[in-house]
Amino acid sequence: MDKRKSYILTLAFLLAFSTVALSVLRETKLDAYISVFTIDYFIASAVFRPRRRTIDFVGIALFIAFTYIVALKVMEILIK
Amino acid sequence: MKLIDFAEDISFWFGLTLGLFGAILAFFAYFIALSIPLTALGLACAILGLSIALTPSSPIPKLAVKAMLEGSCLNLEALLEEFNVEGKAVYMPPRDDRVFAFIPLSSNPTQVEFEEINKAPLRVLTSAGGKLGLIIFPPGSEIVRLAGIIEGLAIEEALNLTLIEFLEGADSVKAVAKEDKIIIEVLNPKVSSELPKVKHSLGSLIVSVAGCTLAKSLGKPIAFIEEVIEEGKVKAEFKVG
Repeated sequence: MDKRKSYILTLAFLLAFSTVALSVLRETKLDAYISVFTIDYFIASAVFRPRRRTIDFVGIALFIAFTYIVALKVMEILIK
Repeated sequence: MKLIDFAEDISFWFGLTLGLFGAILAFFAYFIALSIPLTALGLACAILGLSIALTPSSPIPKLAVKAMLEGSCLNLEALLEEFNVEGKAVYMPPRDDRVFAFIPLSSNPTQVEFEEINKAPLRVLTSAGGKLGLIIFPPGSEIVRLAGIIEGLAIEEALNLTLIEFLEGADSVKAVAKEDKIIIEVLNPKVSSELPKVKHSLGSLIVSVAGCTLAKSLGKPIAFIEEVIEEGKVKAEFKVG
């Protein structure tokens, strides 16, 4: 199987597994899902290192979202 | 890559459709259905779809690359045939940023000194230490240059960069250095050439690219000794000069 197919299948599996697992655990915060998706995405990208047509704007968007979520959590802790 | 190339790739449209579907699902699930798991499912679809759209199925048609590589080997085969070359190639570290190979005309009379080869003028038919041979630029020399291999890179890392990541010419590659010898094992090579003279003197295409990579990463002459083709793998032996 070529690298691209392996990457897409792995990413699909990781995202589906994370969604089902968090839903089963009755997670109701969207930021938890986004954080796990970000980790899934970067794990799959780091392992398979797929080629990209343009800059990886999905990765950039996820990274920004992840940073924002973490910053909010840190602020919450600091304010308490 | 131009927009027209995107459009010709069916996986781009599939990915874009999945991404759009995921975005719409996430929007409705979040604002209308008020369901977080469904919103997450939509986001997951969007991420997967956009990833598929962003990943080209084949940046350059694989058959075209294979045809070009084999075509360049045909010219080499004709050249080696013309001069009735019997010797094995010595892959030399770059001169003018390109790895080149010296192939002595006769097979093994006396060992040509590597330093003499380095001093030899860059001509097709040249003499190194009084020994006649051909100087050629194998297809691997350009691959190594474009893959961005630098001197000092670990051999296995350099081989992985050129053969697996840049060329996508095999499933995996292993390298073992023993004294002045390097043995490489390439699993499931995807490019091959059935040209007897090229195979004898330079090794098969994947081995020749490996030879160029070693010469560049080590910065030393690399003599091709032999290769053994087995079921699904190629083993090759090189001597470091």
